[in-house]
Amino acid sequence: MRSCGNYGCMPLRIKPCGLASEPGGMTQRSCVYFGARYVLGPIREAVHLVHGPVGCGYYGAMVRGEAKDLFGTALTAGEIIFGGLDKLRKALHEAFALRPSARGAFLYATCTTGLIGEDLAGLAREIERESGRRIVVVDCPGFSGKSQAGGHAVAYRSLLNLVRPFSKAEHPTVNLIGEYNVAGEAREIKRLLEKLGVKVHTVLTGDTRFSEIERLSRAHLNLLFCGSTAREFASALKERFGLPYLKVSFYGLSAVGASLRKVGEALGLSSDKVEDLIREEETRTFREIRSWLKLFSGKRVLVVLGAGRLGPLGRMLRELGFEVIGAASVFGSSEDHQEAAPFSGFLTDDPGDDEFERALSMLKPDLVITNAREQWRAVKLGFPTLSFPQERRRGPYTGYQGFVNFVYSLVRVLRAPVWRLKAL
Amino acid sequence: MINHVSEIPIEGITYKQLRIEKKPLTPEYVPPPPELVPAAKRAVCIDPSRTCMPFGAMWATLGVHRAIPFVQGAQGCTTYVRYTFSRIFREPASIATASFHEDAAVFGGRKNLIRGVRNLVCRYKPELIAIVTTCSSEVIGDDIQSFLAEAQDLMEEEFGPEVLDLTKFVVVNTPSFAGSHVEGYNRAAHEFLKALSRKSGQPSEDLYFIPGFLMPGDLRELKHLFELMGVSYHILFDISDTLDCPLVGMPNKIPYYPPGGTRVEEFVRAGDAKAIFALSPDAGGAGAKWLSRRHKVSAFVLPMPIGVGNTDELLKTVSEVSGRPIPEAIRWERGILLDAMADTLHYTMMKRVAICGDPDFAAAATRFVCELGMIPTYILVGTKSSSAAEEIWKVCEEYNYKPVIMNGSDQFEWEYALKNDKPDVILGHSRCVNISKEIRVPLVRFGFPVYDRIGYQREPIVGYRGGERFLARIVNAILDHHYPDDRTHQ
Repeated sequence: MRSCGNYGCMPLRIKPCGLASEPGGMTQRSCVYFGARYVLGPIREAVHLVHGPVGCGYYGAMVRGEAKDLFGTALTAGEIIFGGLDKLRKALHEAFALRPSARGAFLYATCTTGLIGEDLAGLAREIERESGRRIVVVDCPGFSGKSQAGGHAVAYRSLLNLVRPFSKAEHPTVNLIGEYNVAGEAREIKRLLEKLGVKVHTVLTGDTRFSEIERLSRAHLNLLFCGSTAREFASALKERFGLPYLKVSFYGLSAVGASLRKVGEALGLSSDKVEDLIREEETRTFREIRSWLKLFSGKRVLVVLGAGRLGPLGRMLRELGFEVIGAASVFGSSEDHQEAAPFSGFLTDDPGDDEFERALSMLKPDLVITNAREQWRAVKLGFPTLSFPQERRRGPYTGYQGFVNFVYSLVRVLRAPVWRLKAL
Repeated sequence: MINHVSEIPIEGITYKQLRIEKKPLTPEYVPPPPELVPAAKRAVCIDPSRTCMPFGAMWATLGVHRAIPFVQGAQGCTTYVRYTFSRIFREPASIATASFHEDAAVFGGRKNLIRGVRNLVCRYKPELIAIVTTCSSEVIGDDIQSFLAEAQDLMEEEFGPEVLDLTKFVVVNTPSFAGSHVEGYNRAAHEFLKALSRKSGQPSEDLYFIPGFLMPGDLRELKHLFELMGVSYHILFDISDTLDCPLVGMPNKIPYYPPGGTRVEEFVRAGDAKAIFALSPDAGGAGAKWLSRRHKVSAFVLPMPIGVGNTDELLKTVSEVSGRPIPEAIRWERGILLDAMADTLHYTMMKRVAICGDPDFAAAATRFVCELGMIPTYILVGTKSSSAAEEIWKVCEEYNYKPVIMNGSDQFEWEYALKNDKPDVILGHSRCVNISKEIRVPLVRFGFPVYDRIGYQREPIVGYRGGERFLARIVNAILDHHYPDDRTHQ
């Protein structure tokens, strides 16, 4: 791959991953607080409290398009000047009084409180003593990293201290790490694992509770889904509790099959059972999607997505017969790029809006796959567009049933008559 | 803790339950301690009905032709806002960020602003850049004006002096801890007029309007009224053709800019205007007042034209100022609204209604529901506003109702009141959907933000025709919900 760094000679400027965004670009990256909320937002049995101005609390209550319980301190100018710790102390006590069943709290720092230097850790220790509940300080001022990836790391690091040693479960039990249960994806994964007789202890963090995180170590194996957010966490668990992890992917037929075999091998399940399940499900899936495959063959796709999805999605698209002419991550790591490189014509990181438009105008893809914010730009310019994370109504894309859903989503996007009605 | 919602079949997988963290009125519901219900007595803020100040300034800027907000702050300050815009309008929103990282927090945002503005001018060639500050840059104490002067000097050196004619700059100071999005819009209106408007000495007959957080459909309805009146009008921050545009296919020139928006020259000529109207006292009033102080343009700060009385007031004022009579076509539309009100009075009269929204929306909606004979019970004014509270009191005194007004409170307090005293219908934004489902009362969506239904941004609620649409929405919600088994064929 040629990397010239110049503007104009390639549809997207080829940038290596891991660079900070240039000011004045229209980056799709977000802040560290966003990343922390993305990971921690769905955790139940806990109070989530944002220490910052009202806006951070307002936006943070929406995680992947779903409303989540969130308290805030809604700081005003006086508290910025004289310190907001008194208000925070009172707010935490009130939040516990309003959620008596909460076992602990996540306390988020924001740009403002990071800049005025609030001692959240000290206050957290004090209130832990008073109330007897765990308080996890998530040190995530928005500016404290290059993108939301920093927030994912901060969030998982803060979870690590919650995990306690625990005796192992009787049945073969796994944790799903880095699975965010978009539109119920964890449900389909659980369905497949349960058919193999594998129990799922918890889904981090798509479907989990505070108490389940504390007892994470009772599982026999961690299945790592999103490597870019959770790899560090999984390897730390391996170090501390001897809990091994397996990188798996449930996107795409071959990946699901391979992952199920790997899981079966690691847990010592009978390979006949695994093969039977895979054969049965694959046959059913293939029967459902067979008639659509010719619609996909040779269609050219441009993918602009977060990070960890690039590789699995590229594989999935190739299975269906698409050609990925180019892919861009928003905040990818080098592992993500290595995983995605074999499936993609070219690969870059952090495209701005202008670069995205330039790529559309030069490449004229048949299909654009991008995130929920940017999809409308591609739609406006008249490109069939599929957005991630998908809404609940489109269903999960993982596993075998998810593969069928994905195919149907693609069929709807590609076959929609609206794209052919463009010219008057 | 978990709400049991009936099954929703989704693409082959059936959801047995949809988990909702909000505590519904299920047997497990534990009422909160009563001393923690009023927001004024709490330190913790739960479900605020307002967002941050930069949002308002960005909303205003996106209503200007080829204008880009440049947000002097961390990336999340733009991404969250872009996400909100794309949810409401399903449109691309071009907002640039200064990408604050650790170095900016330590050394200030000077380098970010200078490099950012240069990049933006080179890549996007905007006609206007609004520099919108955030909490972080305000806490650091960035001297935006001097950074901007330096950036302009450097660009002049690099690209020649013409570059400064191409792009205008406006600085809007919007620290989120000093107010809400309503105040952000207000400050943007003030700063845009202050930075751009000039008095040439040749007075014009033009009328200027600052709409506030009205939707594209509302702005089109206003244009329709002014065209019928035959006045020469300019709508400042006109988002109707920037945030609601046709699918065009690949444009000849990229980057893509939406075709509409208020032109910069319109702001420049505002100093010669005959009158300026702020249609939302709290969002835009400051701009109108400044123009009247500085350029002696007569300013009118009117309630949002929702319903009969408020629209009457707007049209009468416009008619008086412009000297043009109200035409028969508008009287016809008014008659149709009155007819619709008379037709449906059995459904609306004495129905108890709870209202939630930004100050201007809440005040105007209160007047409209009073006109319909409905009884306002609990009114949540999302952002604290004395003018909205006064207006609501005035209306309710006129119609002899005594609602509870929660001024600047959060949704938690309002929802608690609704749980204990159920209304017949709720008027509010999309974030009221939880309480509406919990207490099983229909929600009529209006105001900011509405993102969970399609097409609301195009359907007007202002003016007489908008009032008729709004009335129909309210009545249909009542019919659907309160008479579900009604199969009469009248």
